[in-house]
Amino acid sequence: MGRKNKFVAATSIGPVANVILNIIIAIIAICCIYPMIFIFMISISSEDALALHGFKLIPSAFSKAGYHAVMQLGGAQLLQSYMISIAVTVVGTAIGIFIMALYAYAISRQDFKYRRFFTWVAVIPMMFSGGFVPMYLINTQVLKFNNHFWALIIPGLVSTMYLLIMRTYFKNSIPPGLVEAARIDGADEFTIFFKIVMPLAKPVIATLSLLMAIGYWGDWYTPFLYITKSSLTPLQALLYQIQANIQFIANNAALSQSPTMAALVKNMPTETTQMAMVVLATIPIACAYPFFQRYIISGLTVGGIKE
Amino acid sequence: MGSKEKKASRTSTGIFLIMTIPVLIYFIFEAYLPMFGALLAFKQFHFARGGFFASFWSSPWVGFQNFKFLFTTDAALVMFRNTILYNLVFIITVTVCSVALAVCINELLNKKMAKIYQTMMFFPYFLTTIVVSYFVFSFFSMDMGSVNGILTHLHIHTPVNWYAKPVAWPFIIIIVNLWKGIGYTSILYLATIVGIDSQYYEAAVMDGASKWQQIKFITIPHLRPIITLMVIMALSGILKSDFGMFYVIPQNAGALLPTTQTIDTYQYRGLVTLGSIGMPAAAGLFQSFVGLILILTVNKVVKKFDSDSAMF
Amino acid sequence: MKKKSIITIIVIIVIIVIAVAAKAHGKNKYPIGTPQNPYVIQWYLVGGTPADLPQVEKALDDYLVPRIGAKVELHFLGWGQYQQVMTNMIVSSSPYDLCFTASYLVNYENFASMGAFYPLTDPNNPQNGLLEKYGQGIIQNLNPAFLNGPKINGVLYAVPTNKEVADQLSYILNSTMAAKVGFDMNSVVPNAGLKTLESLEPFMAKIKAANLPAAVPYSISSSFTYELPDQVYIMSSDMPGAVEMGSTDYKVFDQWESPEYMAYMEYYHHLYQMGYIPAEAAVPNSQSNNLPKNNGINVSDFMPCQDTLSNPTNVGWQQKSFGAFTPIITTQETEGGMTAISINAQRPDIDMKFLNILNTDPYVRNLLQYGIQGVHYNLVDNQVARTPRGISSYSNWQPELGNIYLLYLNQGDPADKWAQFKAFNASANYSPIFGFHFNKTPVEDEITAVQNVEQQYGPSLFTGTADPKVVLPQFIAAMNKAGMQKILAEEQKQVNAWVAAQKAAGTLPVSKVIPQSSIM
Repeated sequence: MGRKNKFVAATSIGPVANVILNIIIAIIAICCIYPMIFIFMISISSEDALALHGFKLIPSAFSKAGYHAVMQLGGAQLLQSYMISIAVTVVGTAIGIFIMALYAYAISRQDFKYRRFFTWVAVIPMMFSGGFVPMYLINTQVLKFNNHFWALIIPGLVSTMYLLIMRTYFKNSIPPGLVEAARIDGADEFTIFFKIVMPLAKPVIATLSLLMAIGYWGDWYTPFLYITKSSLTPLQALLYQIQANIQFIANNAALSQSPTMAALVKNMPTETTQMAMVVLATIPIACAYPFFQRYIISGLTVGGIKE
Repeated sequence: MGSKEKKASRTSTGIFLIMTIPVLIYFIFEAYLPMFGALLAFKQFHFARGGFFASFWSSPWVGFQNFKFLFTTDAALVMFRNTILYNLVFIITVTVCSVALAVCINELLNKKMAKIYQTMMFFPYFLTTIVVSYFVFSFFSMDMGSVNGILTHLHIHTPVNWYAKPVAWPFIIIIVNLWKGIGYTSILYLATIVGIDSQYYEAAVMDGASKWQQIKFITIPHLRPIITLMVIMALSGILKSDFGMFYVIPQNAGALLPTTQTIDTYQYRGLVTLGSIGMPAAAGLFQSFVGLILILTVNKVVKKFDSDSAMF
Repeated sequence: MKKKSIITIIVIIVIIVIAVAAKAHGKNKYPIGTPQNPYVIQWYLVGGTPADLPQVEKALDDYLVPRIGAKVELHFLGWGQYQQVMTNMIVSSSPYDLCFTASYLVNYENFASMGAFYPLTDPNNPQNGLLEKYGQGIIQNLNPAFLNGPKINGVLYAVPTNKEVADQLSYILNSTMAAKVGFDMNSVVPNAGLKTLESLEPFMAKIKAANLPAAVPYSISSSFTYELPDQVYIMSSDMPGAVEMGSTDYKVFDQWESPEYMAYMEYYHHLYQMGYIPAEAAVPNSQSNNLPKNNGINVSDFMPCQDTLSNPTNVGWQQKSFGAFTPIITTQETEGGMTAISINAQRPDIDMKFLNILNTDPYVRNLLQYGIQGVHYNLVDNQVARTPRGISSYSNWQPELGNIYLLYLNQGDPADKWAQFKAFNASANYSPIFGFHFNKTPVEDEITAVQNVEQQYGPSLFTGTADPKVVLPQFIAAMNKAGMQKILAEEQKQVNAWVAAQKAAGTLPVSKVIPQSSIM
């Protein structure tokens, strides 16, 4: 016990340094979260206060109108979009991380004959893409998943960056001795993968799962392209549609008198409503973060000792 | 190798191959099959009855004509300069700051606070670009922005029309990019740091190494492979740019073009009324090609110094 | 395991595939396009999906199946989504029958020139044209300007919506605010170009002096460009190439260096300096949160009867419009709202038959516009009174999607609404280059460069933010460097060729008023 304390002391920073670091990092953290607070404040200000004073951190007048309007805009639609977003995020992340981990593990093994080939297979798409039109073509006419649930999941399943990060981690952070020992004991590769490598890779798996989940949650572009049915529209896409409509109106002012635009203008949600939507769209994923954190820092200790 | 070992290695190879299948299928459909579309860059696209391939084959070949628009304009110098410089600065700032941040967070004594800071630093990543642009506007709007509010309140300066001041925007964009990416990138480095075997530190302590020396000689070297990887991957996109950062956030303000015009925004602005199909394909092909050359070159250089960190 | 199990798996897969393929071989002995086997028309439109769409679709199908052996499926894409998604669909040749196209959305000219739409007329063999064979009703109903304007090389590529065809900029005054600040609207001089705007300046001054909260005297945004009464534009008002109204020599010139344009730019700069134009007008999206009730003057394309109570934009305030100049009929105006048939449509003849019905049959037109009579609306004194169900579940249909003159009037509309439209169209003068379409292919690179220059300088110049004496020369210099002269030369060349061809055929447009067809 004494030895451990001495070790801890030798690998930790002093109390003064700790305070300084805390202050600096706290400032950075506050800068990062400031916009969110700001957005929340706008969502609870009154419309007229906004028109008069612009965006202020402490609004001059409060109002719940923003959230009411969101509910009116479609409480049912909102719930549906939530469900879709959650389903897409969970399913997409689970499948994506799993198949990427398999691939990354295979190419991380020095004794895999074709590892160079498959590494190239993964890297080339990152550098070179055929462009947008053929991908759209294949997704809608060959794979035929437009307006289908899988349209939201498949395009984002694999990222070469995550693949290579996993590969790097497997290569450098899993002791080769462990793998050798298992091989000698007669375990096959699947067993090694599931029973030895994955548990050891928890930090990176958890990290990438978090990043992927965030990616799926915030993805409005894929639904924008492939989904027109409102029953399949996830949350961020819903928000984006509203904002895109507003910008369309702003940029086509000459049409504002035509009955076409008039109806659109009349139903346009206000700033406060939009911000209310942003708040509602961000909270779930923000709450997901602590869930992942548990796994990421399961090894996080003073100075790097595993507890 | 004995026959038993030979058999074991064949089985291993088989299993490895099976492991690669799902992702391979993904790449075939989502990446490799669409690659034929790069040929669109060399065609003057015209529709023909009979679907896309009928149109494709019947459209005439026009060689490199679709590429000309990127180079024959005076604006080419500006947009190439902007794109490349911004990307380089992005890579440097984000890497240095996230590594520093990751190391510092790891050192904090109060682990609970460290968790909270990390959560807070992630928020920028949750926000979509349009929302971020509203936020930036709330700072820099001429009548109602906070920056001008402070300037007039403290009597430093009259209200500045920020969206007409190109010289301010490189700073704004670099900071916004840093702000958005720092939580995300530092967590990757943090995960790696966490995975460093404590034996290294034990040995260092026994040799009497100070805290700073521990960081310099153990932590950073262990981060080298992943830092190199991230940098090389970022370099592959040297001619690409985030549309949100350079078009949406500056609100597409015309006066800012000298410092916010990139290859992607030039193409978007120019092609809105043209509706050309070959020209965007040509631009994309060119960007990818340059990125490819760059990656191969850098990877070769890296291999000479540290073959473990090289990508392939 | 290995070999035996793999072979078994492959065999099973093959069997399944064959079985599925066999089943998919549909069995319907009636040919497609008959009432027993109706053809399904896939129609893509812009707007929000009405909740009661299935009911309306069923009523429509019940009506159409016995008549043309077809059913219609309507797909709505939101305003922000339509441009991108429809473009993708067209380019990747995804199957669809009909889509909405206009000069401002899914640009008709671009796609038509690329051959994305099915040709509706055949200049070499007029009898064989799709429109001629199945769309006689459309031909008879359409204002001839609509029939001829959008033709590219003699071929029409989409069915225009019969509506207002004249182009007139209008200043829309907030009459509630005018009363509040004591401005006499009779002092406004309409249809006089710059003089009209000058007669509005006292109103702007009064608003500024009254210091009303959040009031914007003259509301314009970054995409604002001038349309001058004496100029028509080859591509659009923000791209180089203008011809004088009433021109006989068809000279193409750079509009920004013309004295008329300079006069406007200097006047707008004056208005900006007086504080009537929002300080940040040149920044896009900065004005998107102005509430219309706070604006003194808005600018928009004119539509007859836009001041009446049935216009939903003026809620909480009244408006009165004044024209900026005498109406003009330009090529672009005839492309204000059209329905195109896909080049890959399976049965373009059935599609055309449907469009014919849509544009001639009041039952179908009003069904799609207002919903089912008795459920979504009732006719009171021949005017449409929407039921609560109609307001909540079927109120998103856009008028630009079919002949508007067939529609029942709304409550609050004047009884002579369509007559006013007719008079508005009749009062217009034809542009000298009406019917001319510019082929952009020879100067695509220059257009790209010029577009970027326009986006850089345009907003600050045209909103009056910048001093034209300083910035205009910079703008022109940059435009020239980007290739403006080459564009102008190419435009002149094509215009000359077009004029010669029109003269030979005797179809040169005349600038004075042309008699309309008997219907509209």
